[in-house]
Amino acid sequence: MNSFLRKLRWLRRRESKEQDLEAELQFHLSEEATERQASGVAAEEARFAAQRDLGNLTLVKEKTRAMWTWTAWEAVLQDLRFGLRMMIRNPGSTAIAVLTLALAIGLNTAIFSVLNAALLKDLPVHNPHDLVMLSDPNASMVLGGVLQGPRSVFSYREFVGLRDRTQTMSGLCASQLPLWRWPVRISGGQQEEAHGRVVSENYFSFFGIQPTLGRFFTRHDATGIGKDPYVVISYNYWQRRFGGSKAIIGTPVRFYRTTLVIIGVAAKNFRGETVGQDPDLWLPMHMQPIVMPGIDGLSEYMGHAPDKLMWLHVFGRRKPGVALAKVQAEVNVLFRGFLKAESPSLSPEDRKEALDESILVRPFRNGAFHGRDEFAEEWIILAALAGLVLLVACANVANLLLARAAARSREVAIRLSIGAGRGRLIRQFLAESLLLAGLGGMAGIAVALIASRVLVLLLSGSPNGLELVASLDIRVLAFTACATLLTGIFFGLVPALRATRTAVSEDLKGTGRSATASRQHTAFAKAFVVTQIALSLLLVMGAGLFLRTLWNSQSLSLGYPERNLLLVEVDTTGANNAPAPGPNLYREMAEGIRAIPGVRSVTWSDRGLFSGFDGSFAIQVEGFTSAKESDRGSTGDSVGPAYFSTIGIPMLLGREIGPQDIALSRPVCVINESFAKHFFAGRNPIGRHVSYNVDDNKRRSLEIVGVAQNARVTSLRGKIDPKFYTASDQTWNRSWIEIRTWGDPSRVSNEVRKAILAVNGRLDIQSERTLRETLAAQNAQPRLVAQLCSIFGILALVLAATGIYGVLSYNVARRTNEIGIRMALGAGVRRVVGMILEETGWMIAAGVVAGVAIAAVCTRLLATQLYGVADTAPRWSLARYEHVDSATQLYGITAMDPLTIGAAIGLLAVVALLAAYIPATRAAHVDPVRALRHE
Amino acid sequence: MNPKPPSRVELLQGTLDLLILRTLLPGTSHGHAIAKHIQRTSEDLLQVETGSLYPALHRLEAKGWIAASWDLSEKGKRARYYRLTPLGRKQLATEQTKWQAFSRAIGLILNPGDQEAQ
Repeated sequence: MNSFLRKLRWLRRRESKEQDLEAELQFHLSEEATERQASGVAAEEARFAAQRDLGNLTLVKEKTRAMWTWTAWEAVLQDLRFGLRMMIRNPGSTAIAVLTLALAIGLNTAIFSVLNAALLKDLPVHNPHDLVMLSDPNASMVLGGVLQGPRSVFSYREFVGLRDRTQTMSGLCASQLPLWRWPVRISGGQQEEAHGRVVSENYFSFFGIQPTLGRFFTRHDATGIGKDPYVVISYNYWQRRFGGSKAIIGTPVRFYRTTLVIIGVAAKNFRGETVGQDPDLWLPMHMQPIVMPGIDGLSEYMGHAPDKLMWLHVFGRRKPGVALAKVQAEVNVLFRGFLKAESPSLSPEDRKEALDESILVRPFRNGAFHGRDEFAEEWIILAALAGLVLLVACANVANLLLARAAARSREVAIRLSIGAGRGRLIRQFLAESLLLAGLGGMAGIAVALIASRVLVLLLSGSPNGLELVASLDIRVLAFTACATLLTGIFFGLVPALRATRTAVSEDLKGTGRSATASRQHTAFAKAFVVTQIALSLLLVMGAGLFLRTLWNSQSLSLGYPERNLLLVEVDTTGANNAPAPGPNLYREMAEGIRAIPGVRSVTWSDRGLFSGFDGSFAIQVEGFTSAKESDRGSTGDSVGPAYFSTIGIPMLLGREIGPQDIALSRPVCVINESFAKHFFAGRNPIGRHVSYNVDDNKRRSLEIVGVAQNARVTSLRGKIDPKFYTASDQTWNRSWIEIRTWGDPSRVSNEVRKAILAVNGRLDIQSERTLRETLAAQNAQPRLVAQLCSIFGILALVLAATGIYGVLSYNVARRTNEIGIRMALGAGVRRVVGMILEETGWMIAAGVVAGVAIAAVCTRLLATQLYGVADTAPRWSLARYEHVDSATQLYGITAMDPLTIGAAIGLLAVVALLAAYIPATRAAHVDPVRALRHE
Repeated sequence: MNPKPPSRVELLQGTLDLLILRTLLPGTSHGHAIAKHIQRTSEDLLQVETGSLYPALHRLEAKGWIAASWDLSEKGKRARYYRLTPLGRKQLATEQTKWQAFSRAIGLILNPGDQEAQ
């Protein structure tokens, strides 16, 4: 109210001040006239002389007004008011401009909100800035064996050692690496699947989280193995599974043969430490051996392998004021100590290797994010494309404003001639464009609200989906505001500068000097068209590139047939008391399945296909010595009989693992092509031996009996690592049964399930998917990105086409009267149209050249920067046996894909030529007399 | 050497404010009178452009060095009269000292002989 009154008073004062100035200057004039009259000049003459003397009255007033301190604000208001009036006067073009901007800004905001949620947002925990991570957020595998280089995950003993000894950190906590899927029975109900993590008991106090309901387990609960049978569930799971019931505290949850009880619900916004993977429940560390029977992560025992089991992510909280580097130095000293203590029994060279490990401490305020780099890679490209869409939208709106400014050139000329400053006019144009941008931005936020929700839904939709919360927080809104402001200035400045540079006398003469539209003006318009073609081309090519990448990745050869393969994951924990179920169980299951009609062959393996699990071994190969220690690692799997023939991987040499290879027979293995290339380099590997440590002082030696062709079994991207396959002796509680069928594998899935349960009713079938489905899930992310890219591409194409059409047809229409003259002088229709088309053709050519040149530079940058390092396999197991030029190749297509580029060019050229042809023919058919009178 | 004195001198940047303040020292005056006074007192050497006089007056007013009020002129017309404020008086004093120092310095450099002769 107060401010309103002040405003009123201010307006009144403004008015009176205006009148004062008028009166003051009038007084000056009359005074001057009287004076001159007194010196003998005629009254009339004296008045003119006085006026002449004073000069441009409006200008004087304007300059004087500028001295009133509050006038700047007022000018802005005035500009905005005027801008609003202009917008209302052109509702059609205003609506188009606002809509275009809203789409583009909204799209950018939505993309940014996802980036923000995934990469930039702090964890919703106490003081996230102090958090550090000692493990590698990209680690995807539980590890055993001897490693080198930066450690990605830790064993329980290492975690405890660091936790108890650190001086630089106020606390350390650990959480299980993979999000585990448990078969659970809640309150004695049906078996269902719950996702969760085993975490150290101090987990919740470490993050400083409050329970929504009940309590959390704490380090005081950790009195011994199995002593704290508690479950904490997430808020979402509570809502989803229990409908938010307050009575769930004390609910029993059965895990295999043990019953745990729910003691609390976590805070609403806390979704675990790993971005995009929301656990349903958390279990205390000391329950691990009980809820994961057969795997003892606490005493470091995994089946028969005595190597330590590394399965923990470790996070720390820096003490206030302690630098990251200091933490890093300290933990590495401690870590080396552990490694030394562990390794006395190792051979000298193994020991040297073992001591080669280190810990990389990284900031953790945004949380862990598995696959962060790939995600960032894809989404930053997406954001860049969205930015291009915005740029094209800007160009379109600038176009619209240019046309509008051209229509207003007389108005501008009048303003300039009666003394308006150019700066003032530019400001007014800018105010108008900013107003437009502001409206676009506001509408854009509405678009973003919907679009970001859709994006989040799409992201979480796939089986390996990312669960994100993309809200429009302060950072996102700031982004939108910046984008809007820059947009407004960007598309407003050019028309403003152009419009105010008109030659006053020419424009006042009334015609737009159309006979030979000023050379400078046409040159500018041409440059504009060229720029727009180049930009659009860039965009369409970028989108097309992604699409092609996806197609290629889908048709990428795995090295074996993709069809008719069913993958069943079986958890044998329930069926077997012993930690190792033994191969007979699988043999029995395989026999049962083989009997089903439609099944062609059956096999099994420890790691499965694209399961996210891989095993790495430090090995010694007979006859191979290398200076580089990292050259002595290989991935490995143990497989059942007829594995290679069932999957369909051809044998290049020797034989595959067969039914004769049982525990008591001579230990054998099959290697893949990469293994043979790397370790044998052309020599015949058959009959040679591969050995690795089974125990501190026992080695297992395997004879190579076959070489299999390279096949993709873990990742669609990157090189195929060396791999060796041993005969299955089933040390792992979960294994995969691979079933090759004659027809559609989903038809036999029920029978398969029955056959498995017939062997033992307590077996748990963890998952059952065809290879096709598994691959689709693997590809969900890139596919989503490609789909979005194609949407952007279409959007860009539409924007570009309308933009190019608009600017070209406008420019041709402006030349109507030039065309009239040419026609009057005897030029034929065909000649005139031909001329226009030829000019347009040159513009297209120039735009194409510029666009392709920019694209060449950009894609090269992209390819080397992003894809050159995109190896999904962990570094330690990578043997760099052959140099593949991955720098300029994405899934086998070169960055400059001729088909994509050709299609983009063709499309834009057709649009551009059409945009020139239609108005040109129209102009050429106009009666010359009318054409000359045009405007 | 040019024996004929220039008919008019361009005002130096920033000096107009000083001249206005000085003109208003004896008492109130309106815009036209201020311009005429400066012209007359400088023996027609200085001509104040109306285009810069009024902006200057309003600027000084905004700064609070002069104040304005409406009054009747000697011919009975309503005119806007300006007068010095205490703040303006102080400003005039400092400006004047500054200017005098400046012009003495310029004089010393341009006519070194004069100084020695005196």
